[in-house]
Amino acid sequence: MQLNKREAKRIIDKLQIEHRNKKHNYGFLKYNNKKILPVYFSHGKGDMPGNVPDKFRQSLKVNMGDFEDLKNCPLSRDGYIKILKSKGLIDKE
Amino acid sequence: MILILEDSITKLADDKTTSTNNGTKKESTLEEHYLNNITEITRDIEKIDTSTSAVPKISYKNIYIETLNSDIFTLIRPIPVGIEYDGEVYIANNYDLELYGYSEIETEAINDLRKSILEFYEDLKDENNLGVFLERKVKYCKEIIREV
Repeated sequence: MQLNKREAKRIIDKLQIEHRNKKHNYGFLKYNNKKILPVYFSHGKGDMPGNVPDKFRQSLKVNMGDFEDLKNCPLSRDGYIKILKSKGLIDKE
Repeated sequence: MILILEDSITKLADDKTTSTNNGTKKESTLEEHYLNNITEITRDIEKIDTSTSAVPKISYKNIYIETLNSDIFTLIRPIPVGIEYDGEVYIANNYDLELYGYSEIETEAINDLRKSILEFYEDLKDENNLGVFLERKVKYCKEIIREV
């Protein structure tokens, strides 16, 4: 799996993952003001090395197909939240 | 890989059966058949070599770390760390916390994981408004980390 840091940043921005500052490894996905998931940030430019893109995907708790949809845009934040709800990671309203 | 080889060997066996049953094939034809089959098998093996060399071989090992290298936080007990190396980068994982760190240097990957754990705990230890996933992880952190 290939993923460059710009693509990762696009996913992070789309999912509105909050990040304190560039010195920190992790940001958090929030929903209804609750922190839900930690997501690793890769700083710098270029491709994420080796198997790191797959770790990034796993930290988002999505399968390969959903990750491709996140990367290529069809999957929105709302759609992603639905996936997390179906996995029991966010309480259903 | 095994399937491709099995297919080639089956072809070879089928040819042998046919020639034995009817007994009409000349020696030279039979030899040609075997030679053709051997050529096919060789091609299959070449294909296997190409396909396996494209897949990076990942090595794995498990260690324990006893410290977070912090003046503020210490580990109550050693925690397991899985290290994988794909020929390019080391990734150090703690599967209980589902956190990782990485680097081209193994010890730096472990230190990056330590940094991830420390940040994670510092950010969340006093937080009350957490989702189910993070609640569980912070609970585990409190079992393994104490403030000095």
